[in-house]
Amino acid sequence: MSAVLLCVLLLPLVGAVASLVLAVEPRPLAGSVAAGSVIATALLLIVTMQNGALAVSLAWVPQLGLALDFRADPVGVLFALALALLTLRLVLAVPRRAPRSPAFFGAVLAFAAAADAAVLADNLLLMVACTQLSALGAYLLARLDGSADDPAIALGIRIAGALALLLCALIVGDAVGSYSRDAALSTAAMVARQPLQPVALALLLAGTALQASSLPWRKRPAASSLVDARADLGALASAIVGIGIAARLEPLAAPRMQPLLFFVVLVTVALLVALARRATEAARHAESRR
Amino acid sequence: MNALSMAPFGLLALPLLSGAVLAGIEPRRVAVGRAISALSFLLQLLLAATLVAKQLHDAPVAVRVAAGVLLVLDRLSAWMILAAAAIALTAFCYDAAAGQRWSARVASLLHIQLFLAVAGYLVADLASLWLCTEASLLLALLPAYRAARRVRPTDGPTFLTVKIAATLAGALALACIYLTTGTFDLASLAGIAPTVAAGDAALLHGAQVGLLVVLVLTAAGMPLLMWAPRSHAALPASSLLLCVVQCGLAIYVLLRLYTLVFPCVAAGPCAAPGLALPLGLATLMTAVLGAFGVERLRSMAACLLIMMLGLTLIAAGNFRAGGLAVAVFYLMHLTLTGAALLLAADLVMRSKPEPLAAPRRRAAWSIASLAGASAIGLPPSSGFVGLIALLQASVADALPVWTLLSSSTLVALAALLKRANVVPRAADSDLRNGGPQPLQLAVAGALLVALAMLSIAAAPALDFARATAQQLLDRRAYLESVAGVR
Repeated sequence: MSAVLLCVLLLPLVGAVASLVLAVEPRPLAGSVAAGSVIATALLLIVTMQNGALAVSLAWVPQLGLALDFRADPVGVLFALALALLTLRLVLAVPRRAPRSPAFFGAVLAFAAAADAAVLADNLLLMVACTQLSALGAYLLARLDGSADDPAIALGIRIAGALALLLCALIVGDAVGSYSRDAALSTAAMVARQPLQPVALALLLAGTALQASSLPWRKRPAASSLVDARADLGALASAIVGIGIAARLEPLAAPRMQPLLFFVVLVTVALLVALARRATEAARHAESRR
Repeated sequence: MNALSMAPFGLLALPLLSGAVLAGIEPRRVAVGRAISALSFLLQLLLAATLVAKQLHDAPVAVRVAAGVLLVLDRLSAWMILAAAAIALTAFCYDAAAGQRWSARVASLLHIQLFLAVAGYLVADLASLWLCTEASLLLALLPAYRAARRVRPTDGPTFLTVKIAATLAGALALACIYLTTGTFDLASLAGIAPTVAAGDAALLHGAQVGLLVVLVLTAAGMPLLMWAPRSHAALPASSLLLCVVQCGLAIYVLLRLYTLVFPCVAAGPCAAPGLALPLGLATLMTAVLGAFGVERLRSMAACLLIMMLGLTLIAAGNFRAGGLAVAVFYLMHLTLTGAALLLAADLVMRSKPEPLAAPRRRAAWSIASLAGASAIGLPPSSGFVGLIALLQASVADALPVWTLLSSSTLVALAALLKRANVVPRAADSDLRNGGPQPLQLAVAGALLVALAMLSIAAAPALDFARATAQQLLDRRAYLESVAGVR
């Protein structure tokens, strides 16, 4: 059954290549290919949920503890599903009459692939790598969509967050002797005894907060354009990656810190829900105006 | 004498002979000249690749040639020769693809530069090593001096003053080493240096420090790197690539000297570990700030190259096995990424603004962006693997090193993003040769493919780097191989 998980990870990438290669003419086909691969990914994720915690493991650089390990645990699948739904909304927020170039859909799916990989990664270093890739995907997406917001600033903030997560992973890995998420979580008590544990926790909080804080906070007029709505959805998806990582690494925090982390996650999720509603309303408003 | 012991002769003879033949060839016999160059570079590459494969399991090989000169081939030197041959072949292909007017003198110079680099990697004598490094630098930067004088007259004298000062300081350090030890032979120096009399120890210590600073300067690092990006920016693309070889040669000399001759042992003076790390950190920070501040894309590419050099120095840091392995891996990464970056910057500068050139322009920008992302260590490039290896190796100095590495990555990213929003200015463009040719794009693309291969095969590359670091620290094997030919 781990082939299902492999398909979940590879399908958006295949979709990205297909929308670039197959959908040059006619252009609306690119959107259909993208939507199809996202729906298929979401369905596969539901299948994954029913089959327990599936895992895929491939060696990359064992000397550094860097491996392509993925595990479809319930928390990860839940976040991956949320990301799939957001990606679908992002694809559908492109009107058929004014289609974007196939490169745009390719970027959407590449971003989705990296984001899925980040919330399903079972190796701390791989998690950081996928977070950075999702940040690059979001940047590319905003550049190709012609968003008025400067995507470079958001990319800088997200990469800073990913670097904080990398340093956290190194501290945890050094304490545990492995970069496997499972190993780190099963020896959370050992991590808690480390003198650098507060630093690691601060870096984890900073990393996830920076991932989530690159939202377009500036106030827009009620009738935002579709491009703005897509930018909001893209930022929202990036924020979910950050929150997903925080939720999956939450057991690493000392028991007395866990309520704080839970509170931070809860507040951020509430803000994200509000932003999602705003983005959806803006998209609906812009569509009705057309 | 077995086949392996003949290999160093072949490695030296090939570029020297082809350089001499090309110097005497008639300028109108372009096809013959290019065929000789291509054949020579290909043979050199094949020979070097065979030696790297052979040296994976063998001990160092020492050969005595005419006039008592000793050549030693080990894993590091075999790899560095392979990298130099690959870079020279890339430079040749790039120039040929540009369709520029062929010059026998320039072609001959390329071979002589390769000969000097190969000689530097093979000789086991400090004076010869120094001469090769200096002559190679001089040949690499002569066109830079001429171009810089043409572009901005004030640059030439500054550069020349720095270079003369560095050469004099290096010569002084060598003189001090000879005065205290009485030899330039690396193997003899390795035996004598730890046992010098207490009165001479301070002089030898000073010479070590001086030589370290001069070598870092020769590799275009701190404390005076600011001349290098501007000089690099004025060079033609093929000479630029040989500057990458030049940087590699200076780092090679540094690694060889401070592991074999001046290793950090309790008995003797130990200068390198105290200085290499601060020099590396200073080089890194200055280079990323330079990358953020410079306006020309080629200057930024040169700054990113120097940034990787700083990372290599930080990795070498304390000259112990873990760090040295990362430094060797970074040398592989630096060679490929540096070459790709410099070629991509050249291609972008050649791009025409007309719509017809748009696909080539986009391709040039894409190559530059990917090479830039690899230079600053974004995944899944070999730079990311190198960055993780470096961070893991520097756990002992975690807080300062990690903070500086993270901030430098962010500043370098900001520099790249700043550049991504700027269209090349007319003054930056070099359209004399009709913009980037498809074959030139293919050459730069091939470097990116090689980078991707390094990233995918990072595990065997790291294994090779670790074995190389072990061999570098195994002084006894080196000394035994030299003793065998005495």
